[in-house]
Amino acid sequence: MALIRHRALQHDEWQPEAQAAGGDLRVPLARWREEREALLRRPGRLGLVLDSREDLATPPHQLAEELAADLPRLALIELRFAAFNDGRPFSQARVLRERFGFRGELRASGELLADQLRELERCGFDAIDYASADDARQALVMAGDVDVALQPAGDDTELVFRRRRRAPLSLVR
Amino acid sequence: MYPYDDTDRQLLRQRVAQFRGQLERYQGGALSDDQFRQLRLRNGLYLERQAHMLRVAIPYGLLSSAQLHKLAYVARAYDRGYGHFTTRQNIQYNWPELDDVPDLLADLAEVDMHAIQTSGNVVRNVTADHLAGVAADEVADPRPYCEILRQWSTLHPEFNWLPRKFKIAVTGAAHDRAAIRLHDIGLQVVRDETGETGFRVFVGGGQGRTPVIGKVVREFLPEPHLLSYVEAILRVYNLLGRRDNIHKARIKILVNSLGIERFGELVEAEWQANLARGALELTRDDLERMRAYFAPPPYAAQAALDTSFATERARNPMFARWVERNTAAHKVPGYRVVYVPLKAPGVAPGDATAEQMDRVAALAARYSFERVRTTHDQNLLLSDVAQGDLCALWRALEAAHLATPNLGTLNDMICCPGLEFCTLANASSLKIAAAVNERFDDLDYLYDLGPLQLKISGCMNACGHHHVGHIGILGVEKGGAEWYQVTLGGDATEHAALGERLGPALPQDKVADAIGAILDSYVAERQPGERFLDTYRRIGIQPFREQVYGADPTPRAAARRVAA
Repeated sequence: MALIRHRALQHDEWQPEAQAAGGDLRVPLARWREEREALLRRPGRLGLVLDSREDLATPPHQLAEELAADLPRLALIELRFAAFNDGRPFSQARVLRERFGFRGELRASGELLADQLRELERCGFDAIDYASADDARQALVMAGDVDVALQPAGDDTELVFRRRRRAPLSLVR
Repeated sequence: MYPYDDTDRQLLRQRVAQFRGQLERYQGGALSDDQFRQLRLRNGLYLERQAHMLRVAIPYGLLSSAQLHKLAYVARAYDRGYGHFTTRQNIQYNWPELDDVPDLLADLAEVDMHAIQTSGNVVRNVTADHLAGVAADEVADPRPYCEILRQWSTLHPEFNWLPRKFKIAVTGAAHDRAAIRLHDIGLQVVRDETGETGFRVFVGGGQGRTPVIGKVVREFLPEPHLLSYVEAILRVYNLLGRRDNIHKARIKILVNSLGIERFGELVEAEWQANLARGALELTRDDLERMRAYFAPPPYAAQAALDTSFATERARNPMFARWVERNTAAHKVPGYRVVYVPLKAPGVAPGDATAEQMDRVAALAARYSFERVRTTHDQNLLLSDVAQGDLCALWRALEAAHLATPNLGTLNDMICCPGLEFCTLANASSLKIAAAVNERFDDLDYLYDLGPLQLKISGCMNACGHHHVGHIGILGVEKGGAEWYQVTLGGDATEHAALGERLGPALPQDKVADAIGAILDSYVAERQPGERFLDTYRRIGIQPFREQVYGADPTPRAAARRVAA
């Protein structure tokens, strides 16, 4: 696994569920639902792993509402792509960030394309965990290839036609 | 017309470079076939039966003369000298070499054109009424909204991996020429009782193997909320649309399974929850600036005073016939809308040669303010021609075989590329089109039949819109042979209806005969002033069925009957 934060490869301090002894622990949604109170009582940081195919096929607000009260206590929410073309995490990320104000780490993992780095970032992901170091390096190489954005998403880009009328043409990006 | 600026051009340059890189990675083995397929599709590139096919976007069907000249250039330089205009107002090229595609895209970028989001599971080219801005019956020009939607949806990071493709159409008139009820989202510009502008929003329409007529999800959406509401629809769809079965992944399936009320509630909740942030709210200023790009051209105040038009019309019956058939009323006195049908006998519907494209582009520069439009029934049109120029324009179009006076007749058909070009097709729709053209070549007979829409699809994916043809033909494969199902009574307008099946499928050589029998039936049954569709609605399908199949509707009897 190769983790990108802030456009750089970084050490991942989160261990897989089975290897997390006393410290930080991330658990799948099913375990969270069963052991929520016990998990919240443990020392160390807590993360939640949601699978795009199993967990995200819900109305936009439903899952986030279930988690809403506990969001401040979750240090990490990891949205795992079952397939690179399963677009559900993009929408779920925006719901968690924008509508429910989740401030912890929002991580993408699973099957991801190097080409997807920027669209993940723009939907609110601040950590992207590629399956291989090659993919992560490729993603970083290509990250600036298309840097024009025409619309707001999970970032603070303005609608392009509104931005245009304020800036001299040559400065508009 | 919306003029590209530095931002738009930079985006195109970057996108071309990005695609070049993706192609290199694929050819170097860094991308798998499936990964590259998904990426190339987002750039309009298909791998078809014999070669690659590239679909180029023509946003809401509007082209400048310079752009059409460039499309002609591309047809010559990268294709076999022609292009195919599609039912979604785009153009596709059937023969580009894979290695050439980045250069082709770079050439298109020179005239602010591209292939972004013309395929793949993304928001596709937004289409519009082809009479936008010139129709007397519209509430407002739909194109500013189309352009706002285009800019908002271009490379949208959240909606680049939808469950399935997503098509939006906008009309500004109550009479629907854009088939908005057959789109994933259809928008009709309306005014409420206080005079406020907004949209009637349809959702979940579509054709394909499960044809569905769109349902109203909101009777009145105030104009400023266009983008926020469309975003809410797409978000609900992106999360809840099925991804386990490609044939059940369109939004129409989701809307039908939830029910329109429940679907509408989910959209409303998502929309309301995000409204306060206001990032997508359109201001009066946003809208006025966008509308200014689509302001009317400088019409000549004296155009209606021209007398040569009336003189020529009286003197030259061929010209008069063309005016009657291939031109339409314009909201400005002294101007007409001129259709340029791409339906000449012997030509695949929608095909145009590079020479024809150059010719039309030049004629538009001379007679129609350098603008050309594509229509969803695969024709071109010049939207603003002064009546005094019509005769000269007609002569020039005649010389280029672009004045066949068959607009709106049986021969002005919609037809998909079919077996010869498409990997999905299982029948040769083009052969049927040719057979119909050959058999029904008497213009007076066609005129007598009145407005008639024949729509032909080579497979159940319905690219030829057969479900909504007054007469629809669907190619199917049975036992290794091509068969054709006939439907009657389809309609893509505000009276949208799906065609009803006439009877068992027919072999290829019997289709034209069956159409002949259907038309005989119509001529025998019609009352004065009744169009085909009116007669069909009044008498139902049975008289047509009996005319084609007799009392015994088995395939064998049908074949015998039409052969007799």
